[in-house]
Amino acid sequence: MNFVSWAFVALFAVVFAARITIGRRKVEPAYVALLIVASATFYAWHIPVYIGILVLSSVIDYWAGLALARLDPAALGRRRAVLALSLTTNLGLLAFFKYADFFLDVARDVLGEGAGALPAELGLALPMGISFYTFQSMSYTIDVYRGVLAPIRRFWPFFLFISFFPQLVAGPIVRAAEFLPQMPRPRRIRRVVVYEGLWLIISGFFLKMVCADNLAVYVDEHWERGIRTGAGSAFTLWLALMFSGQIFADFAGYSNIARGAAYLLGYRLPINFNAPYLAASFKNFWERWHMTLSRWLRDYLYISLGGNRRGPVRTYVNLILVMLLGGLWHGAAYTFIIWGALHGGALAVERLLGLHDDRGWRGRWVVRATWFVVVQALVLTAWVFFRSRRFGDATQFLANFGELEGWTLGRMEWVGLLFLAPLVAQHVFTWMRERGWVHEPGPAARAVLAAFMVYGIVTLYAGTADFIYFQF
Amino acid sequence: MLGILTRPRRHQAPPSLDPALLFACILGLLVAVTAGLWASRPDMGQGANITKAGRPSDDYYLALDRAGHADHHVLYFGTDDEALGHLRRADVLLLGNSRLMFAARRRVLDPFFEARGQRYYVLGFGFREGDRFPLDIIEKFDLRPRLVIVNADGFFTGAYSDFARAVRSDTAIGARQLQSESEIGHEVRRVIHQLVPNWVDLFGRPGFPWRQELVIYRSRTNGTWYLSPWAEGLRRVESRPLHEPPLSNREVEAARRFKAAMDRRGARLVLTYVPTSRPLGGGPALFAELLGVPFVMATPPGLRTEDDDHLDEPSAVAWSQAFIRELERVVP
Repeated sequence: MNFVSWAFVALFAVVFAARITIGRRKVEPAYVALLIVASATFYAWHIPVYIGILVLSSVIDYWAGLALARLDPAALGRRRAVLALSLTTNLGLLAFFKYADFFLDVARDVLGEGAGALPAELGLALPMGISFYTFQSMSYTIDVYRGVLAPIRRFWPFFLFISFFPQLVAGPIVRAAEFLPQMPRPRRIRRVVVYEGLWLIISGFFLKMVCADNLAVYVDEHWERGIRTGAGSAFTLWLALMFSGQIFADFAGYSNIARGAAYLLGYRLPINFNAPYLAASFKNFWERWHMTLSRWLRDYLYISLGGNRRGPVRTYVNLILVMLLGGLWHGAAYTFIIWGALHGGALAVERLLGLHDDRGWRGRWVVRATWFVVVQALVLTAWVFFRSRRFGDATQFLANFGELEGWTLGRMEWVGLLFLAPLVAQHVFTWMRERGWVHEPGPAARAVLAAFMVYGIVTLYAGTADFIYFQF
Repeated sequence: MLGILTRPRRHQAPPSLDPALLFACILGLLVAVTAGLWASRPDMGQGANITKAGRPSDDYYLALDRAGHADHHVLYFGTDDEALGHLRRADVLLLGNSRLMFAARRRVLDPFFEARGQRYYVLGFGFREGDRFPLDIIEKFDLRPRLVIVNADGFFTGAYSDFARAVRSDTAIGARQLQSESEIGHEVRRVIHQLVPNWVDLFGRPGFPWRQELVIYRSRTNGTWYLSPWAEGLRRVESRPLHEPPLSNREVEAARRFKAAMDRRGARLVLTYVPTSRPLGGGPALFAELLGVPFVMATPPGLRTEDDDHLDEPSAVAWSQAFIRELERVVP
């Protein structure tokens, strides 16, 4: 189910009505049961049979958590086997649905004529949110294995953690340690909670329906022109900026709606975006962009590989490997892998140069300013690969920019840039807030802003494009 | 402001400034001012298209508007039983992209085919759809037309449009959901835009030809589109040589595959060309020569488009009339 749909409006209305009647403390069994039913309905709305995959993943990891708790901590072999079962199930489901066709293509490329026996493609519809809930579920078993989390001993609360509909399909990726302690804790609905939740929801819909969807009109219409020879430097730069704004507004918008909806229903979800285009280092970019994925990769992959504790070379390798897998997580395409590789390589180079923190020569403002430009330029370049369907398209796009000619923009381009203005304003405000020059807007200011945003939604919406991250 | 919220600060606003009331007042003021200004300025194009659009009869379902594009889904998944029934019974299919859909006018085609005792169905699609998608539908529902007429311009691609790929990966349930969402959105927006416009619709989006929202209904009986609005075209259609450019290997392969599929179904293939200033693909007449099939050429004078791609309504009527005259010569 899409957030931007009447079905979601109806579903949420029912659930919120329950929240303010039978779920006033959030912990009432009837309310919790309704949340589970609503989450299952939300997920099954697209392809009903796929609820079975969600249940399978949940059952295996629930059982794995209990088994790990029962096993002697010294029984390393058996504990690892249980963990392996959980990881294999989740990653196996992910690999099968997401990467089967990709690996078939690779096999055909490698085998050539010998690939005759291979099927053309499996053509399976990707279960919605599988990239998100499998990671969320794995985080539970890994934390139980590591002994940092006690297993949950009832299935239905665990299933609610996995299937909680506000964040089920496109995150934020919530840790069990963040969500499970909230479940038994009563939380009354209060006016201030309603205002904050609605603020997040309205801002999310504004980002999605006004900014992202309008930017998508330009990007979808003109991307092909950007990959044709002679597109012009200004036009390709404009197009790349439009896409960078689109993907941010789309994903951050979704995250806001998810957080706002969850808050109204009694749960806090982690922040997922923090003005990423302010990042002055690649490290900082990943502390601001898709924060829950980057910390998942850090805590469960990077640190497991040794992090930065095995010498500088191994650190660089780990960074590149983690980001390669991060790229692959987005999808089965070479362009996503290259996107990940660019970020991984950049993180490694940044670390090599000592520019990942503010010590040493990075303390000089001219170095910081220069590196900021480098960071944002490479982020923009990487987005070109992310958006392109083929490697050749991305390189042609960049070559068009690299010709450094054709520097004029027409009326269409300037009007299109207006839809980036709210994102620029948000980033500027965040920059000022981080320096203590402004404070968060109070309730009255938010009320005024929210009114303008609702007005904007009603009068500037573009269409009904799907959320970009639904495809992951 | 967005996505960076910490816990709300207490005692921020004086008690009299209830945020909900403030929100409602500001929003109400914005809407009232907009509605008032809009009503007082007739030169600003009173009434958004969505408020003026209306299906001509119950024979039509909503195919496209800003709230959703259900056109591909309805026919691919057969979610409309009546439309599917007519499609199955059609003796004549007309295939092509949106250029054909604009050009094929019911008020011309209805009496023509009725006089011949034939049922026709215009099975064209927007999004520059080529041959693969309608061929899927023909095979899926085992359609057995006696005559298939194809607008050869940009048809034989051997590929699906991006939209068709998304449709094919969807489900019948998804198709019905999309149709419901589209219909509900259509009605809700009809109410909203009585008061306030969509500003992009009102002023247009520079660089994009369609200033206001395009609303399309599709006939269940014969598949023709009913468009609202349909602005008068200001640009003349430029004539083009029909034997240029040469066909690519991919187009040749796609055309032959399509012909073979029609032969298997016992359908006679006829090609045509809807004039446009921006042709797609290889020369239309070359396909007819390649496949050894008749080519129906209808080029009445004075054709116009709004966007260099699609005929305006008078031009579409003129083309349809010229088309049926030429078709009768080829397929008596």
